[in-house]
Amino acid sequence: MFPLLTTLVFLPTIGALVLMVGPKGASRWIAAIFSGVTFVLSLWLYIGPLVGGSGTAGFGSIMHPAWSESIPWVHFAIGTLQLNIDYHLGADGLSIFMLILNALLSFLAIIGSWHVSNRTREYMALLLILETGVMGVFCAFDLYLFWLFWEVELIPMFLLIAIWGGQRREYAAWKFVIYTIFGSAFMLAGIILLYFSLGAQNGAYSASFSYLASHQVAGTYSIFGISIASQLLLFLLLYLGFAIKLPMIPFHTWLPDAHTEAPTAVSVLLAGVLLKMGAYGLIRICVDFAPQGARDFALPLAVLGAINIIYGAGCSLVQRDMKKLIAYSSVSHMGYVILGVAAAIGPGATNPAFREAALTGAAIQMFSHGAVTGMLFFCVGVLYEKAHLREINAFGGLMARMPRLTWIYTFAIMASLGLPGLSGFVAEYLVYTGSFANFPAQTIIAAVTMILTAGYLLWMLKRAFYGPLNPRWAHLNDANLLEMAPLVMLGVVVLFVGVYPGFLVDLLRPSLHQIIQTMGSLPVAGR
Amino acid sequence: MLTLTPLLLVFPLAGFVILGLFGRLLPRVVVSTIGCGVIFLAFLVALGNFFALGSATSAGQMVSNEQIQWNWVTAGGLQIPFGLLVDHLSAIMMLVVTGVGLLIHVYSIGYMSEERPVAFARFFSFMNLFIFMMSLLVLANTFLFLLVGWAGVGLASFLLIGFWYTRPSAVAAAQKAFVINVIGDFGLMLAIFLMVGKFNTLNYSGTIFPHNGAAFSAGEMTTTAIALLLLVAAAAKSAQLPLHVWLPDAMEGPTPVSALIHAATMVTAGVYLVARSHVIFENAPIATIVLAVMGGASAFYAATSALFQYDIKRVLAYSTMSQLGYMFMGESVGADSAAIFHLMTHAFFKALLFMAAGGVIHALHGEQDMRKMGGLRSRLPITYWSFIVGGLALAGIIPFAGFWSKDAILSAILAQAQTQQSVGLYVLWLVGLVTAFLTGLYIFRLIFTVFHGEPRARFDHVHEVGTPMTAPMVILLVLATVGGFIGTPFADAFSAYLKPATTVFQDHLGGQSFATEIAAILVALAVGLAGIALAWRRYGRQPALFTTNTNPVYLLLAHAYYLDPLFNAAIAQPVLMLGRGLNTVIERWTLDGGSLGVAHVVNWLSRSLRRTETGYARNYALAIAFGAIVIVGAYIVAMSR
Repeated sequence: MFPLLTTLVFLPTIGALVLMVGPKGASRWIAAIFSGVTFVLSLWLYIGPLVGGSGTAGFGSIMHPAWSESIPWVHFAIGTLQLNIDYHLGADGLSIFMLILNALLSFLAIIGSWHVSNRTREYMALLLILETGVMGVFCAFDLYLFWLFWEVELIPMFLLIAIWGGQRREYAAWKFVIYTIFGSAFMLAGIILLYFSLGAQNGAYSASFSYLASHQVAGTYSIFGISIASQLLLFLLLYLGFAIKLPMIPFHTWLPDAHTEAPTAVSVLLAGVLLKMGAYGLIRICVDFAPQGARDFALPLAVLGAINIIYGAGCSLVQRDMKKLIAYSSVSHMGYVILGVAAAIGPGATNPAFREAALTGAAIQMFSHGAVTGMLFFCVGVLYEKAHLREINAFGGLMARMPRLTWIYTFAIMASLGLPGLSGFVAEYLVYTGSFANFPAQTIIAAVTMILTAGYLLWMLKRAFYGPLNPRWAHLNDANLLEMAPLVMLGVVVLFVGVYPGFLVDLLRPSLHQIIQTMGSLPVAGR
Repeated sequence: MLTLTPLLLVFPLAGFVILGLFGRLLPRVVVSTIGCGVIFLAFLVALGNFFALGSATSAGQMVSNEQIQWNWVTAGGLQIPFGLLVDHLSAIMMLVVTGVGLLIHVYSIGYMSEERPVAFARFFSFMNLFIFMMSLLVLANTFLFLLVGWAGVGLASFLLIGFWYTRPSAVAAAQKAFVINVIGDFGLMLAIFLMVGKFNTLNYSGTIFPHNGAAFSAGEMTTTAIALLLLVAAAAKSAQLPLHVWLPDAMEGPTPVSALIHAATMVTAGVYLVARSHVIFENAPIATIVLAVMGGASAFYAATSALFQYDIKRVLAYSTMSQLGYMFMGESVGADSAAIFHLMTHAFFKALLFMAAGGVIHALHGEQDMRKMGGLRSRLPITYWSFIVGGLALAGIIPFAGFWSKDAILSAILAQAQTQQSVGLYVLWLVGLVTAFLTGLYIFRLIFTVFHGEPRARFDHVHEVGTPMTAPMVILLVLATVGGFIGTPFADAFSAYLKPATTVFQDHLGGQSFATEIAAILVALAVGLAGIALAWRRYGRQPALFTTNTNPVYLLLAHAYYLDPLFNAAIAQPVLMLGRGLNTVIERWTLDGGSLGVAHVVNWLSRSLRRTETGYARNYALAIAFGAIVIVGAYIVAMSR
C-alpha cells in the first residue's frame, strides 16, 4: 500500500531540500507546489475511507485507525526492561481533520507569504519543515515519536519568529521556546513514567497508541512520601506540556508576544495548528491514556477553561494592537476546547450524549478556531503590509478604501463571535449543550463571555474599518486577488462547516465515541 | 401548497446571494427588480400557506405540517434536526413579514435612489438577508434554528443600522444594537440548554406542543427559569426595559430599515417568541408577572420618553417600544391572539408612519429635527394624510386598525382583572389607559408641529415623493384604516384563525363579557381622544412651542430618564475598567512579571554559581576534601546510631 502518511509528513521536508538546491528565484513556486501537492494528497485521507466502502465508520478510532503505517525502529532490552520505539504513523478521524487543516493552512500560509522578500528561500524552507513537524505530531501513533515531532516543530518556529519577526522578535522567540521546552520536559517525564509503569505492570513494553489506550496504569505513586494516584500524576505531567501550548492560563503569556512579533503567515500557523497540538494532545494523549486521572482533574479543568474564556475576553477588551487583540481572543476561544473536554470527562452521572456533544464541540472548535483566526491574521497581515501599523486607533474608515478587505474581515469577525450559520457557532453550541449538564456555572460564565466577545470584536471593526476615513490612509489600496485567495478559501470552509457540520461530526464520531465509551466505563463519583 | 414552504427561505436567500455577489455589476433597475421580486414571490407563497392552512383546526395537526426534516448534527445520542413548520401562528407572521416587507422594499426603490449603485445593491442584498433570517426565525420547528434566525436578524439589523458606515453615530448605534442583541441570544441559548437537558430535544413537537406529553410542570424551578430566560431574549429583541437602549439609536439606519426591521417585523420577534412558547409561560406564574411588569413599564416609559423628543424618528422609535409593551401586556394575561393581532395592525400603521416620516425627511433633504419643520401640510398632502391615518390608528381611534387590536388587549386585561379579582391587573389596565392617553398626545404633537403652523426653516424644492414611495404608503394607508375589521369584538375572524395555535390559553381565559368589552372600548377611546385634544391645545395652534425648559420632569423625560448614560456608567465602564485591571495587574504585573522574575532569579543564581568556577586546582581540591569529610562524617553518624 502507498505510504500516504509518510508522504504527507516528509513531502514538505523534501520540498525544503529541493528549495535549497533549486533556483533562488523560484523558491516561492517550489514551496507552493510542494505544500499544494501535500494538501491535495491530504484530502485523500478523508475521501479514501469513504470510497473504501465502510462509510463514515471507516475513519476508525485510536484502536483501529483508518490509516496506519508501522516500521520497527528501536528495540533493545536490558534485563526485563525493554525500550521499544516504533516508527508508527496512524490517522483516525481526530487526526485526519487536523492533518487536512494543517496541510490547508500551510499551503495558504505560503501563498499569503508571497510578498516576503527577505531571505525568501530560507523562509519558505522553514515553513515547509514546520509543516512536517506538525504533520508528524498529528499522525504519530507512537508516544516517543510523538514527542520527537513535538520538539521538531520548535526549531523552525523559533527561527521564523526570531528572524522574520517584528521589533521585539528575539524576546518573543525565546519566550516561546522556553515556555514550550519547560512544558515538554514534564511531558517527557510523563511519557517515560507511563511507558515503564505500564510495562512493569503488564510485562509488555510498547509506546504504541493502541496499547496505551487499551491498558491503563493502576495504583498510586509515592513521591517524597506523598501518595498520589498514578493516573492523576501522569495526567498532570503530560498535560502541563499541552496546557502551555493550548495555551491555558496562567501559561499563556508567551502567546500574545509570539503572535504580535511573528510574521503574518507564522501567526496564522501558530493560531491555526500549533495551538491545536495542545488541544489534540489533551484529547488524544491525556484523556485516552489516563482516563481516570482526567476524570479526577475534570472539575479544575472546567474551572480553568471558564477562566480562560472570560479572562482572555477581558484582556481583549482593552488591547490597542490588532494582533494582540486577536491573540487574547485566541486564549478565550481555546478555553472552549478546555471546557468541552472537561465536560466530556466530567465526574457527573451525565447522559453520554451530552459528553459526546461536548467533545465533538471541542474538536470542531479546534478546526473552526484554526480557520477563523487564520482569516483574522491574514486580514491584519494584508493591512500591515500596506500600512505598516497595527494600532487600532490609528486607523478609521478603511471601508472607503478597502471594501473587499472590510467585508471579509467583517465575515471573519462574525464567525469569531459565534454567529449562527458559521463554524464557530456549531462548536460553541455543542460545547455549551454538553457542558451545561456537567458544569452549569462554568457554562454560564462562558456564555456571558459571548457578550464581551461581540463587544471587543465589533469595537475593533468599528474603530478601524468603519466611520469617516482617516485621511492618513487615503493612499491604501484594497486587497488584491493573491491576498484575497487565502481569505476566500478559508471563508468558504468556515461557511461550509457552519451550514453543514455533519461532515466533520461524522469524521470525528468513531474516534470520539471510543473516548466516551472509555469514560462511561469508569466509576462515577457519587455526588 | 404547504410543500412550497422552503421557497419562503430560498427566494430571499437567492436575492441576498445574487445581489451580494453581482449587485455591483447590475443596473439599478435589475437590482430593484430582483430585490423586490424575490420578496414578492415569497409573499405569494406565504399567501398560499395562509389559505391552505385554513381548514386545519386542531393543534395536533400542526406537527404534520412540518415541511422538511434534515439531520443537521448528530452527536452521540443527541440529534439536532432542521425543519420548517407552518402553523396558523407562523402563517400570519409570514404574511406580515413578506407583505409589509414587500411594500417597504418597493418604497426603498424610491427612498434609496440617490445612493451610489454599489450601495443601492448592498442595501437590497441586506434587506433580502433580513427577510431570509426573519423567515427562518418564524418557520423553524426547533428552538435551535429559531436561535439561528434570531441571531441572523440581529446581523441584518447590524449591517443595516450601520449602512451609512462613514457616520460615526450610525456605526456606534450598529455596534450597540448588536451587543445588546447578543445579550438576548445569551438568554435564548441558556433557555435552550435547560430545555435540551430536560427533554433531550429542541423540536417544538417534543417541547412546547402540549399534546406530545412533554409537559412543563407548573411552577417548577426549571420552567420558571426557562421562561425568564426567554424573557431576556424577548426584551433584548423587542426593546423592552431594561434592554431597550439600542432601539432609539438604531434610527441612524435608513428610514426603510427603521420601518421594516425596527418597527414592523424584527422587533416583534420577542412577541412571537412568547406567543410561540405560551405553554411555558402558562406554567410559570412568576415569569408571567415579570412579563406583565416589563410590558407595562416599557409601554409607559416609552410613551413618556416620546413626549419631548425633537427627532421625528426617535418619537416613532419610542412609540414602537411602547406598542410592543402593549403586546407583552396582552400576552401576560394569556391574550396571545390579541397580541399577535396588535402586532399585525402595528406593522401596518407603524410602517406607514415611518414611510411618511421618510417622506418628510426625503423632502427636507435629510432633516430629522422637528424644530425646523412646520407647515408642511399643503406641500406634502399624501404624507400628511398618511400621518393622520397612522396617528389615529396608533392612538387607537375608531375605526382605524390600531383601535381594534389595542382594545382587544385592554379588554382582555380588564376581563382577567375581574375574573381573578387582581389589583395588579387593574393597575396594568390603568397603565394601559394612561399610555393610550400619552400615545394620542405624543403622536399628534408630532403631526401638529411638523405639518401645521408656519415653516420654521427654509427648505428649497420641498416636494411630494415619487410613485415607488407613495404607492406602498397608499396601500398601507388602506390597511391601517380597515385592517382591524377582521378582529372586531362582534366578529373576531382573527382569533378564530389563530385558535389552533393558541388553543390552550383560550380555555384559560374566563368568559369575557360583552359589557366589559364595550366599557373598555369606550374608556380607551375617550382617553385616546383626550390625548389628541391636549396635543391640539398645546401644539395645534402655536406649534413653535419648543422653548428650552429647565423643568426637572421635562429634562428627565427628554433624556429618556437618563438610562443610557446610567447604563454606560454602571455597566459598560466598569466592565472596561475590569478589563484594564486584569490586563495590568494580573497579565502584565503578576504573570508576565512573575515569569520574568523567575528568569531573573535563575540568571542571578547561575551568575553566583559561576563564581565558584575559579579555574584554580587548589580551590577544587579544597572542595573535594570538604566533600569527603562531609560524606565520611555522615557515615560515622549513621553507623553510631
